[in-house]
Amino acid sequence: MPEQETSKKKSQKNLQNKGIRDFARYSGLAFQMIGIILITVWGGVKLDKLTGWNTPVFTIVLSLLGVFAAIYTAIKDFIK
Amino acid sequence: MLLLAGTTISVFGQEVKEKTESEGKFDASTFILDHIADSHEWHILTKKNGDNVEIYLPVILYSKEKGLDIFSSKKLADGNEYKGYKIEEEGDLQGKIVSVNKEGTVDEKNLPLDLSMTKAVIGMLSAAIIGLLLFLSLSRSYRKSGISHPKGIQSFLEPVILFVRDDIAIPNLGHKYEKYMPYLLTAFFFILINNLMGLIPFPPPFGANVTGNIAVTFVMATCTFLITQFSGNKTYWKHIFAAPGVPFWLLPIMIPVEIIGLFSKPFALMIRLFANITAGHIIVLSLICLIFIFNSLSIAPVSILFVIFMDFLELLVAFLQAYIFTLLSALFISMAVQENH
Repeated sequence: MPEQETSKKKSQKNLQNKGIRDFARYSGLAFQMIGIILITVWGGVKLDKLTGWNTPVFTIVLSLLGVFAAIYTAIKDFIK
Repeated sequence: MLLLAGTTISVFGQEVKEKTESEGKFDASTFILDHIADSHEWHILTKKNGDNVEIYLPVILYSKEKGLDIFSSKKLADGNEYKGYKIEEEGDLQGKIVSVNKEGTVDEKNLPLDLSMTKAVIGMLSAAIIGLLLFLSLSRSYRKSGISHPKGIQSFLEPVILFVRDDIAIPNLGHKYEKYMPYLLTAFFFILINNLMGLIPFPPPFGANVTGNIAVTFVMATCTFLITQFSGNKTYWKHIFAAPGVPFWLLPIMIPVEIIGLFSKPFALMIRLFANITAGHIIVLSLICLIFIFNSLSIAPVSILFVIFMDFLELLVAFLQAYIFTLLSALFISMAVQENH
């Protein structure tokens, strides 16, 4: 009986820890998404300045890629 | 804690009063931002006649033309120029040391490399020294008495170390945990000591906003990033460069996305620690500033009560942020070393 109780306590503790772990993981999700989009857009704007083309190709492509990447990594983190 | 809050009030009180009197109107936002930012001198108080009592920290500069220069930041105080350098007072480079041309204009293209011992550097080094002293005495006491029931400093540090091992390292890293324990423990205690030192307002080296400095959190996140990448195994890299189940024509899109994903995780780590600690400092300082904004004594008790409450909350945040940083570092490393999904 006492063994069962300790294992029960352990599993409870594990559940609790999992909750905290998940909280810690997902609490950074917003920053992560914002970070990805900011970095890609910034990179796009920089590249467009470097090339000096009339149409901001890199800004458009990289910002779209950034939004896609942000959603993709968020979903991937959720599945894991 | 009461004492702590009391010293906060008295130390900041002196400064704020002077500012209010000399300028007529009290500017809370500049005051708060000045206290959060890193600086070349350590401001202690402002005397009644407007003189500042400050500790001037060493300035170490390197530039291609002038070579290495080491001098006290007192030479640069009050906008003075020394050896062709001065502290910029406005614009984008505010608070930074810039080189000045012969014509007296600021040379914005050739900024010197600033390796100075600033407030944050002193705070960080003191935290490192405190950590070293704590753990050296801990190891000495273990060597002397062997592993018996903990006493003295052991009884305080042993549970924390075991907590990092049993609740952070082992659940995430499994049997590989031993290899990463030194880094996880170092990160945990470095952040914890710096957070706690930042909460104590006085005297120097306490009260520097070290973990609320984005450069510091950037370096810490970079450490986690590098350790993660270098311990990445075959499965980890395969998932990045040729994720199973992804058709080959999608790979040109997926590889950049995965690589961006690599950088985004430590980025979030960096922002979280920085934002949490900075926000805490801003709240405490704003609450104190309330007294001087309203310019009335009746606000003081309310403000002090809130500050005490916030200090308790910050005490929790100090531990929580150290925990979360270490936990996420362990999690990222575990993602890189796990065999299969």
